[in-house]
Amino acid sequence: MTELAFEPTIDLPVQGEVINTPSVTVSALPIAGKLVLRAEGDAIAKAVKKALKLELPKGVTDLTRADGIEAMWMGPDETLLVCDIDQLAATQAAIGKAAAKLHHSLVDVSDYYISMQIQGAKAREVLAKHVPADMHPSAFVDGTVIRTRFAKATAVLVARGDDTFELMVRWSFAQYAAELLRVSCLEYA
Amino acid sequence: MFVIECPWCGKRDQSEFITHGEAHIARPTNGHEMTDAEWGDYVFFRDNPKGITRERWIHTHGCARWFNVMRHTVTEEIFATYKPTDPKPELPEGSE
Repeated sequence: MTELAFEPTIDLPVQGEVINTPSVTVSALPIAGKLVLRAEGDAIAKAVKKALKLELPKGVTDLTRADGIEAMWMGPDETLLVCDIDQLAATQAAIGKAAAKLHHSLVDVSDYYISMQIQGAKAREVLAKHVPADMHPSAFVDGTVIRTRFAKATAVLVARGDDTFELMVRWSFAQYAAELLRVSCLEYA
Repeated sequence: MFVIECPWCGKRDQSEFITHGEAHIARPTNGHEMTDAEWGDYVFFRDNPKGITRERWIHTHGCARWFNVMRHTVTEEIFATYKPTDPKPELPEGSE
């Protein structure tokens, strides 16, 4: 990677704790490394598995993990890879190398989504206020991902167990989503 | 509110989808021979049936893929959803 002559400063749209109530807490998560991998067929899945020991998700709501990388099913030929920001360059290089001879696209979208964590006994209820997909524990199971809508924003939702959820919305929608989450949690404060 | 079955994601709320009009309109291959009227027909004119229609829909807030929906314009009943590469489904029995 190119050395920068200055330290870039970024004003994140949402930072730190958004709201903290006895039954639900919302806070911004640190920026993660994110890649969108688009490719059709099994060849890419085999190449990625060989290079990173990562089994790509195969169908809707699938989420797979290996060595700090999470792979989320976004569409029939689209996977979102999430890793630590420090791991991003290595991950991108490894997949790029593995898939070099295959038709694919691999794009760094780390600044595309802002992630927030919603945690607590009422977390599912808060999400259900704005998400049309079923948020019941039997439908939205721990360890799965769903691409849906959060109020007016396209969103990626990850269920991480123990009433913990990650909400990813696009950067420009982050302030809106955070403010809406804050208001939606007020009744539990 | 309707529940629409995306061929890839399964049953989802209507608000995750957008429709973009009539399906199965093939781009003409003899464009150089066509008159303005024929082009106008291809580009702008669509059937507006009172009955069963096949439409293109996109799962915008989900997998962002296009697919086709066969539905009734009066009863709003959805008979089938299918991938663009799938064959046209049969019309339900008793319909025109």
